[in-house]
Amino acid sequence: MIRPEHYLQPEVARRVRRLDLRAKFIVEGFLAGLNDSPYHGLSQEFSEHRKYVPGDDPKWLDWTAWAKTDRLYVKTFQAETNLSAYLLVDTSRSMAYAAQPGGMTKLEYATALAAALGYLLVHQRDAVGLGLLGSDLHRFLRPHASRRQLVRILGELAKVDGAGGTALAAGLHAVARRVKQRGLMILVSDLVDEPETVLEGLKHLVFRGHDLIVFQILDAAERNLDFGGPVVLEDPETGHRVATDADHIRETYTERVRAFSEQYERGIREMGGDFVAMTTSTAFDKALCRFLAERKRRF
Amino acid sequence: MNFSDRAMLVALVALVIPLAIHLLYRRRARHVVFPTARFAERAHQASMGRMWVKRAVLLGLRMAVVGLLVLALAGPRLGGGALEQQPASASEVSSTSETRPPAKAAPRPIRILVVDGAGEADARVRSADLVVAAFAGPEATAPKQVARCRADEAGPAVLVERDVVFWVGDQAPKDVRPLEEFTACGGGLVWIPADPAPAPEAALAAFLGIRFDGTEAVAAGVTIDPAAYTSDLVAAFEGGTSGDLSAPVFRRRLLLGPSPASHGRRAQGIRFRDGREAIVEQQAGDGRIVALAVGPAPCWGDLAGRSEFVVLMHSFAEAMRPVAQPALARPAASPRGGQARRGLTAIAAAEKPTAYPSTPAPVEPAPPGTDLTGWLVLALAVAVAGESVLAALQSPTGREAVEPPPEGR
Repeated sequence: MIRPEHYLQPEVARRVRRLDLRAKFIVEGFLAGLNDSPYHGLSQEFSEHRKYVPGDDPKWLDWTAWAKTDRLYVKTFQAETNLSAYLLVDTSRSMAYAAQPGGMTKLEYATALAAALGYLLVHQRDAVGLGLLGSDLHRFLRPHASRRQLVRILGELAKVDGAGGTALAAGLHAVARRVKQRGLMILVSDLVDEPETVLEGLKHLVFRGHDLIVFQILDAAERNLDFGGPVVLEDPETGHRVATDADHIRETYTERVRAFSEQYERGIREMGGDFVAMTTSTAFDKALCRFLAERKRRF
Repeated sequence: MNFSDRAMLVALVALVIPLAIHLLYRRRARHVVFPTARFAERAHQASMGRMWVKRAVLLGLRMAVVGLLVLALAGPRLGGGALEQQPASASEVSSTSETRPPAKAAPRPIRILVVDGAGEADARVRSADLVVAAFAGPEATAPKQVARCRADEAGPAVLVERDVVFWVGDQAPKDVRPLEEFTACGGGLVWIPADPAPAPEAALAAFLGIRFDGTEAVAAGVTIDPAAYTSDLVAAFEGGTSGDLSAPVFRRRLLLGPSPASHGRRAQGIRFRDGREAIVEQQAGDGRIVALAVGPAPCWGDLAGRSEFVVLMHSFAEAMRPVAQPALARPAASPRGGQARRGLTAIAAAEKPTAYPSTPAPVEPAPPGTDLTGWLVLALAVAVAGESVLAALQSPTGREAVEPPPEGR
């Protein structure tokens, strides 16, 4: 029998066809591993009452508990669930890539991660919204803290096919223009675009007062160029081809990819955001932990 | 540059193998849809020059490996071929190689000198002409260049670039030292004495002034019946009728050279049916002297017209030639041969060209050829090592997995 923690591994989570179940298993696996973690108490299941002390807002008093025990308790979770988070998922054609035939594509990984984050957010009574980015912002759901919102989000994520073009910056600008309330922007993308323009879009979000977490999802083959000998590499978005010898360019290529990621990381850190580089084989708990750390920092 | 085995050079066509592999390797490119192809393109542009150089060097090394292997197997020698470009110093009478197609003219022709030692007063058919005529026939199995000169012209400048000398008649040379040193450093001398012939080795000793071991064996001399000469000689040469040694054995000995056991001693050749010697062979330094036990006779004209005689002359020329180079261009097999060659060269250099009006000015003999096989094997080893290192550097096994950037904060 598969233990809940195993669903944090992408190859295990991928066996679950339904996205809602996949998200549920990922989050439950994650929470099962959090028993002794510093993040204990951040979710709905682990909220608690604490004694009322002078200065607490009386509106958070639990009158039911007072009636039963004749003591004043404050429901602490209610004070922590005022977060509006936006899951921004890149659905461009470059995301529909998996080096191994039949392997998990970057888009599958991104949707599973976004679904898990949405599941976690909703169960914490946080409001969660969704933005699907391709050649533009082609789908946007305003945030709500309800189960129905989670169903809507999972339904939208299940429909993405990774056939759109890439204009990540345009989508980010569109999100920045539409969202007036400050919130947490969670971008899941491979960021394969011009870094300057994408960073401009992210800067626009930060300028609007949003917090930022960027998950860069790449396939391991994209980082290491796991090919040998002569290859013709075709860009799925532009159709441009380059004939080369992978063995000869590997060193230069990996340096450039590393510099590419570091450019994003440096730019995002300068904005006060968080950057997480991942591959499609990275366990999901890394992303979830990073999210919780960011949430804790915010509150 | 000379080669011991020129036929091996045909294997140089194998040079196309690494070239073909190189081209096929380029055509075997795999098509991959790759989102980060833009980085691959930039990396390709950045490392294109280095990649091209590495590929070119690898191709060059692989071709060098094949080429050096073929050249090493062909047995290259440097310097020995210089004599081939030198003009003949005796008057060229005939050359069968000129009538051959280019493909068959590739081997170096055997340079033959026919010395007319019959003397001015001899009014008979000149035997030297008959020998020269024998080499003009179509029976030749190897190209030959035949020159002809008088006995008093057979000096070092003429001998220095010859492989085989046919001395026809018993007129002695002015100076016997050049002939002595010619044979000492590998040249072949075929002596066809006057008729009636004395004992061949004794006659040679008297004629050349050279002392041979074992001359007493034929001190009694040999006389033959001229009328039976042709048939007897040919029959003896072709084998089956000789008394002690069969003709094939003698021919093989001529082709392979005398055995070590026969060095410095008289070697029996072919005997007639009655036990008399027809042809005898004598080691002289690094070379050999073959003497016919018969001389020109009134029937020589008939003999020269016979195919057997032509075959006999060609067999002598091909058997007596040095293995790869003219006698004087070969490295000395013994200290004596080396001294003799230097002596002959010195004589040739000191001698006035005007002493031989029919010949051009003597030329400096080429230095002995240097065997390059060792150097080629060394270069081959270096090329193989370089190719292995380069191939290992770009093999997929040399890759290192690149981990994602470490987690920040």
